Amino acid sequence: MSAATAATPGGVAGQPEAAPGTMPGVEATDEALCARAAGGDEPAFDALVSRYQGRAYRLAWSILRDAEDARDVSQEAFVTLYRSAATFRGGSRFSTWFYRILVNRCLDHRRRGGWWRRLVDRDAGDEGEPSLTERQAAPASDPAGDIDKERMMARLWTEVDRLAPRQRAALLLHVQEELPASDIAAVLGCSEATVRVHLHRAVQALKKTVR
Amino acid sequence: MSQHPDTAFVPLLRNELAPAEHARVTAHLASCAACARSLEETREILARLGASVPAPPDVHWGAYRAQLRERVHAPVAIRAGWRRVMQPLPLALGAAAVALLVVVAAQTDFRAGGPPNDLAVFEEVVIGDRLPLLQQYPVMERLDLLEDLDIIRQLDVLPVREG
Repeated sequence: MSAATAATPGGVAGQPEAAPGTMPGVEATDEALCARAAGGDEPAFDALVSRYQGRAYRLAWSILRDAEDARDVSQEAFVTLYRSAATFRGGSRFSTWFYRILVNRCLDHRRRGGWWRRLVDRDAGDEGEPSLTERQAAPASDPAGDIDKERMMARLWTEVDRLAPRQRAALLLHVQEELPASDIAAVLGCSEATVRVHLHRAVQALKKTVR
Repeated sequence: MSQHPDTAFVPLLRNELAPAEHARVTAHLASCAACARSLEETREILARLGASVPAPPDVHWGAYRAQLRERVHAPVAIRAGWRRVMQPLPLALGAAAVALLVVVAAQTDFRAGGPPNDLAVFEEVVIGDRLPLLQQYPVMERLDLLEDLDIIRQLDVLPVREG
């Protein structure tokens, strides 16, 4: 099961669900739902949450590496969406706009600290949550070489955690969310050239781990 | 192309380069073994990452949605400010920091205004006042330090050097 299916109930994260108030078989676009949510239409807001909760939580967790923080910050992003839906003008796709809210929240959360909570929760987290190695999909076969491969993957993701926050966010949006550089630039609020530099530096840092 | 187009490798692998840039980069790759090798390493890294994205811990989505509903309908002031301020550990740490500052400040005041400093000032005044007198006593030549107030206090009764 992929990360996406694991994080979303009843199917693949981000797959559109039938929105309340739409004709059977006709799905409202994210943008249309957002416009209705801006007018106080709660079922439309609920439909957006259903579509994005899995992806939001997964991306927040990838950036923050803490389940509680990821729940908290992704909920904050939805609250912001609820209160600021009217400010979405349709200049970009809804998903890009929402990712921008979410990623900014995550980066703010990291900047603000939460250091004290990580300090306190580290022991409990180590006991309660599986390691990165355990979180990766099990190999199809189990020859001895797979163990080395798993270790390599764990090292690789540990190195991803050590990247500068914006480099890491850019890399995760690229690898995990498969966003093009132009969308990553819109999410991070920087130029596409800057995104390229972030991605290049992130990959360079990871190459050292593989060598 | 004189410069190595390192930053174009990721978009090249995603086929996101504009045709002109795509042509430039591929032409460079054809003549630069180091860049061709670097591109392959980049491809490998991205493929490995893409194939092994760790899954987050499971979430109880019912509880998640219920909590979200509460937060959405909570008054703004309570939601934003109070939650942030009323985290128990920051409160405790803040209180501890204030207590520490108070203790340090109290000790600093004590040192600054307490008897040891007063005594030092007193000694300086006494020695300063008597310095011309002290110069007249031969015993002073045998004293290494002037801090011994007991000796200094007895200077009046010591014999005066003649000549």
